[in-house]
Amino acid sequence: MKKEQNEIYANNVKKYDVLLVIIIFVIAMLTAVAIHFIKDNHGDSQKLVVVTLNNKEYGKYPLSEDRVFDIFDDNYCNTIVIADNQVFMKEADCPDKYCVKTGAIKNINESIICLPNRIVVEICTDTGEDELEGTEAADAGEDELDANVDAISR
Amino acid sequence: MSENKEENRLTAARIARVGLFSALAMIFGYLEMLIPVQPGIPGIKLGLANIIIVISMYLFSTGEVVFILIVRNVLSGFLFGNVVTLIYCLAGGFLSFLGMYFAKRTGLFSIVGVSATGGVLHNVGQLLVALILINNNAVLYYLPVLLISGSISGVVIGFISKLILPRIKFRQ
Repeated sequence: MKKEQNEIYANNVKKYDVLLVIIIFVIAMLTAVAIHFIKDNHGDSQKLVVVTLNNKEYGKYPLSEDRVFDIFDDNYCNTIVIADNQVFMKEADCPDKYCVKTGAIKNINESIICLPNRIVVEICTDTGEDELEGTEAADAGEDELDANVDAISR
Repeated sequence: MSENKEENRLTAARIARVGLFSALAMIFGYLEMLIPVQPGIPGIKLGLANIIIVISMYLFSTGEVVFILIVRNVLSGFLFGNVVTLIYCLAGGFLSFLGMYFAKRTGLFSIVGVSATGGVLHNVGQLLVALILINNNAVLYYLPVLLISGSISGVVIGFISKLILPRIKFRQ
């Protein structure tokens, strides 16, 4: 009895199945459009490049403005470049050059770290605008999500 | 519902079947982790273990499916993951189970539709947990991607289950 029922359920794809998948796709499209719309209202202009030197804030620069600047002291010199809404460490005289190898970063919460010269370059949202977090920080959750990738992929 | 009484009896055969399916679900979950090619976005995956859950929906009673679900998630959570993994898996698993349960009860959907519901809700459940744990609305940006990937993998799982289900014959 039960087995026959199983086979009836299993055998033919019904039109509601197709309808269901179509509805899911439509919902996905709608949310994608809504999210895109919210995103466009703010753009990348709110992203800030925060440079920290020796645990002290060295400076903040908007990610949307291109600029090149050096951070130098008696012992070291690092060249940071902001271009095309990306930041990268162009040159560094540290021994390992990990910061240069990190390449360009563009998303919130990403960072370039130069340990020997104690320089940290991070991308943050504009401070004091907590309500922006949800709409603005498009990729803010990415790092945390990455940490949870393992979790989700199980 | 004369079957009901029979279904409620705890026989050795039923215990063995449920145990077998719990083990299968775990193994499928493990096999999936061995697949070397993974898409970059978290949450997008086939969900091989869900084949077992979907098939169980049609072979076992509700309680037994829930049991398989809990055993699979708790065991693979502790074997391969941690408490956070466990929370994600349980949330996704239970939401998808509830969705599949009701989708099946309506009688409107075939196994493919039921599985698609499960696939989508699995991702939605995990996204909800991420929303709570990470406490950042930005996670919602993954929603469209996860909805589509969930429905696609759900449909694929549904078709696979459709092929497997008629071939399973339990001897009484």
